[in-house]
Formats: sequence, structure tokens, C-alpha cells
Amino acid sequence: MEALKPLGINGGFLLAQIVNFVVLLVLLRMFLYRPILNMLDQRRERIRESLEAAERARQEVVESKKAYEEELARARREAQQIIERAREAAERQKEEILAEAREQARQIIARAEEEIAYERQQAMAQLREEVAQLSLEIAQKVIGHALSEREHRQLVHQFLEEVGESS
Amino acid sequence: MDLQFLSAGLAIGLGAIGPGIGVGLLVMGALQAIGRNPEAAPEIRTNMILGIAFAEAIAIYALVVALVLKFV
Amino acid sequence: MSRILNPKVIIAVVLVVAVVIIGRIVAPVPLPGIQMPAEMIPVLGFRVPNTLLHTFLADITLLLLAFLATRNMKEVPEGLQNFVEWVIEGFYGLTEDIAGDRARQWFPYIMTIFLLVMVANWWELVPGVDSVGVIEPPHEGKGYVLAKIGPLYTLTAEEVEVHGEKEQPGEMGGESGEEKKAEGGKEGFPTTEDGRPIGILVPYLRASATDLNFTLALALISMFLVQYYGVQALGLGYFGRFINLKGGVMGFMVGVIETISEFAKIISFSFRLFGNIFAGQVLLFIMAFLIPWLAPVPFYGLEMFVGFIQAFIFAVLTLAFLANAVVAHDEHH
Repeated sequence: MEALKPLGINGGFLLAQIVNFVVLLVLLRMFLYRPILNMLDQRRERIRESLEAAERARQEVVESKKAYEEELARARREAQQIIERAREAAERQKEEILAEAREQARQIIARAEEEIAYERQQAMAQLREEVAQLSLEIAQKVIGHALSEREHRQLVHQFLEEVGESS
Repeated sequence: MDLQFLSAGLAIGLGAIGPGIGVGLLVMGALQAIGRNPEAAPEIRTNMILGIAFAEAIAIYALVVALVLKFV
Repeated sequence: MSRILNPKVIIAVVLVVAVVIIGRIVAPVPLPGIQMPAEMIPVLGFRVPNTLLHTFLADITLLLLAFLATRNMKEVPEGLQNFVEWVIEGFYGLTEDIAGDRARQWFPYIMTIFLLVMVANWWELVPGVDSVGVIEPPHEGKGYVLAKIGPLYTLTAEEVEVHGEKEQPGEMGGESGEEKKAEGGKEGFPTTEDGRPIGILVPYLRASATDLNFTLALALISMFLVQYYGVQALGLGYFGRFINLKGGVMGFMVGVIETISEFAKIISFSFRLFGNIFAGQVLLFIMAFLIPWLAPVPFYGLEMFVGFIQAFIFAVLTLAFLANAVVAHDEHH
């Protein structure tokens, strides 16, 4: 150990330096490394969290956009359906109205025909009556009262029926 | 007395030749490596410094001998 | 050629040379005594080595820095906190690269070594360190003539040999370039023929790493940590790398070499740092002695770099040895 003296090595000072280092180590660990490393960790955590939050927000935006678009599509589809239904209803109504109108027209025509037929029949009957009457009078005038009224009538009717059958 | 100084000078002077060459070779190799692969520069540099420290240790033994000769 | 003969360049060169010569003549600087053991400074009745005081200065600097940086920590850092975080984060990344999972465990040691060594090294470059101190009577036959400035004394560059009662005044005169102030009276000091006192300067502060106690203390702590974590990680199997009976004669010899290198590491650790900083200090002394003005400036830059690199090497080598110690030795084969 004597040989170390000229080099300046001294047990006491060596120990002092060691103790100094240990004390400095403890103090720096307590007051520098721990707070700074904690702060760095904390910041790393914070950054990770905010990145995650940003990612979540982005996800949410995407989702809500998707939902909005779905909603929009559904509304559009519904509108389409409503329009379709309305059109169908209108079509149906139109058909109904047309059918009704056609029916009424048909009925009116039928009634008119019936009336016409009735009138004609009526006119025929009247005509026939008058013809019978007239021919009876004519025959009376021609042949007098040669024939009883009943026989005449029968004759005329017979004739008329023949005419009627042939006409 | 005079021989003591002479021997101290010779100790560090001769002792520094080898490490000098060694450090030169180390840095040459490291620089060539960096030239070939610049992306690995930080890693190569750290290892180069460590290698230089080891090569320098030899010069330090010479320094110790010189100091002992001069002062002891 | 015309570029070199540019009048501006010529004027600059002439100015620099003039400044260097004038500095040499007007303000010569004494060459401080260079010795390995730390000088003792009386503090509160104790004699404390000035290198230990320097270490305390570095401690206080670091603690102050820690206090200021963490005083009111903000989530968004600014100023000093930002800088300190940058340093610590950078070094932590490096530690993680080498140590992996154990980074958290080792980081405080590594970082403290780095910070303490670097701050202590850089303090050496601050004016006043190595040049302000107590003036004592010369004890190795060589001293400088003292001059009085106000209540303080300063060393002049006038070097004299003191051989008991005989004194020989030197040739050079004038004031010193660097101010070398000191308290301390003239009593008990040898004097020149014309009655001026002769003394030497004992600086209050001297770079910690120029004292082997400091570097050896760090080296011992480093190697103790290496052994401690080696045993902690591998149990008694850790010593298998030193006493290797399985590998035959060759293996045993490797074990012996491994053991020796473990002690050699302590020596290279302490002397690497000591040698670099001590040599840097001597370099600065001699540059200031030879050419007091301008010339030392680039060497201050060099010493700043050396101070950083040595701190870095000390820390990273410790880390590398730690990482090596916790890996089972058989894995290398």
C-alpha cells in the first residue's frame, strides 16, 4: 500500500469518493431519474391513450356515418314504397272508377234498349190493335154484317197471326 | 534520475505505438462498415467506441508504468 | 494563391500572430506544479483534497440541475425539463439497447456515472478551477514570485529556484496572464533578494478525475456491481467462469486469465479516465504556458470532447460488462 502513496491513492479519500457516489446515486435516483422516467412513462401512456381515443373516435365516426347512410337508404326505400303503394292505389282506383263507369254505361244502354223494345212492343201492340180495328171496320163496310162480330174477329186474328208469323 | 525520466518516456512512447495502430485499424474497419451500411452507423459507432476503449487499455498500462517510473 | 494573398486574410494572420506574441510578452503564465496526489486545502479545520471539493461541486451542480428540472414538471416539457428529459431518454434508450429488460435496474448507476464524470470533467474547463486557490510556501525547491493586488496575492510568471536560504531570481518579469489570487500572508515565505515573497499556488478546485481516488472509486463501484449482478443472475454458477475445472487445462487457464482480466478491468477503468483527464489538464497548462492567448482555445474544445467521451466510455463499458456478467458463460461456446 506504501507504493500507492505517490500515486495519490489514499484509503480515506477513496472511501469518501465511494460514499459520495452512493449518496449522489440515491439522491439523483430519488429526485431526477424517478420523476423524469415516470413522466416519460406517463407521457408514453398518455400518447398511447390519445392515439387509441383518436382511433376510437375515427371508428365511431365511421360507424355513425354507416348508420346514417343506412338510415338514409331505408328512408329512401320507404319513400319509394310509399310512392309505389300510392301509385298502385291510384291505379286501382282508376280501374274501379273506369269499371263502374263502364257498368253504368252498360246499364244505361241496357235500360234504353229495354225501353226501346218496350216502346216498340207497345207500338206494335197498339198498331196491331188498330190494324185489327181498321180491318174489321173495312171488312164490315165491305161485307156488312155478314159475319158475326165474333167470327170476324177470329178471322182477323187468324189472318194477323199468319201475317205475324210470316213477317 | 535521468534514466528514470528516460525510461518513463520510453514506456509511454513505445507503449502507445501498438494501441495507436490498433485504434487506427478499429476506426478504419468501423468507417468502412459505415460506408458500406450507413443505416447501421449508430450501432457501429457505439461498438467502435467500446473497441477503442479496449485497445486504449493497453496504452493505459503503459501510462501506468510511466507514471510509476516517474513518481514512485 | 490570390485567395491566400487577400488583404483580409493577411490582416487576420498578422493580427493573430501579433496577439500571440503580445500575449506571450505582456501576460506570461506560470506553469503550475504538476503532481499526481491531490493537494490539501484547509476547510473548516480539516485538510480536504481539492479534487474531493471538485467532486462536491459536480454533485451540487447535478442536484441543482435535478431540482430545477423537476421543480414543476409539465406534461408538455419546456426549457430545462425538456433538455434533461432529452438527455435521460437518449441514455435510457442506449441502456435498453444493451441491457434489454434490466435497463430499469441498471440505468441509475450508469446514468449517475456518466453525469458525475462528465460534469466533473467539464467543470475543469471553467476559468477559476485550477487557478484560484491558497498560496503556500514552495516545498520542492521551485516557486514563483508573488505580487500583491489589493488584499490578494497573485503569482507572477517569474520562476525561481529555492535551495534552502539561497534564491535565484528568474529572468522573466511582469504580471501573470491568468489571475492567480489567494489569501494567505507572507509570513514564513522565502523571499527573493529584493524582498519579494516566493510561493506556489494550491488551487481550491482540481478536476476530480485527476485524482486516482475518484476514478478508482468509480471503477471499484462498477466492478462490484458487475460481480453483484453476475451472482444475482447466475447464483454460484457465476464463479464458474473464473474457476473452470470442466474444460481441462485449457479451460482452467482461460478461467485464470478471466480472473486476472477482472482485476485488470479495475486498473484500466481508473487509469483510462485518470490518464485522459490528467493529460488534458497538463496539455492545457502547457498550452497556456507556451502561448497564453488564443492557442489554448481549440484545446478547450478538445478537452470538452474528451471529457464527454471518457464519461460515455466509462458508463457504456460498465453497462457492457454488466450485460456480459448476467449471461451464462457456457453460451459463448
